[in-house]
Amino acid sequence: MKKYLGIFVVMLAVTASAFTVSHKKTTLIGNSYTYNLSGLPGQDDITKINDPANYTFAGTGSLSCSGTAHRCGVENATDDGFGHPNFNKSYTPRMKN
Amino acid sequence: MKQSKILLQINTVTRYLLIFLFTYTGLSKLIDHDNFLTSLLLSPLIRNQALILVWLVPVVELLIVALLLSDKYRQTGLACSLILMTVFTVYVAYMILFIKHLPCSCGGVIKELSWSNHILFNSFFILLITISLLFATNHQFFIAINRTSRKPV
Repeated sequence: MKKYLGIFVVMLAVTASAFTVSHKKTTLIGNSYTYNLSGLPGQDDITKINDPANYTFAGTGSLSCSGTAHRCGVENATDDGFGHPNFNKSYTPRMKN
Repeated sequence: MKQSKILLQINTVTRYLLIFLFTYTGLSKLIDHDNFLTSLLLSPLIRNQALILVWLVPVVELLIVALLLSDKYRQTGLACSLILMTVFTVYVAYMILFIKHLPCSCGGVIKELSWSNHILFNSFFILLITISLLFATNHQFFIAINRTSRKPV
């Protein structure tokens, strides 16, 4: 009986993850961030990533994550291929701020 | 005698808690792969290793689960858990102390924890694992042997 307890715990964790992890990306259609650093689109200055002044929000919906909107955008943006967020693509809501 | 019984129970409970935790977080990172990768890419400390870590972290977590499930490698699993938890905690502490922007790269509901709660959560597990390992090192397990048949009774 004790031998199978480990397997039972694994199954429990699998079940828990099935119910609590988002399997699909939630696309917030119509919402996007324009990411302008140093006044030029696509600039690589990562130190300015947290400055709301560098972001322009375009869309009709509201962001469903806590924290200020531009941070939600930063945290949820997909990678642009250079390790920087790409705000032209869809993003998923994430919670920790 | 009573104390060693309690320590034995702590050892068992710690093992099952770790099996649950690492299975859950490992699977969450694999299922939510894109978000995990994005979070790693936004972390200034590990951005350059993100493409390796996005697979390495969940695979290591699931390997530790396999070790913890096995009777033979249980202690190795606990030792690996201690190392992994310590690395996670040092990373979280570094992020809190030195990084202004804090992306979350943890799996499932764990990401709902605040960063300071995350440190407490990890510290609790580090404490449990340390107690379990110390107990296992100091504790002698005896098997009664029948004198005539020389088989365990």
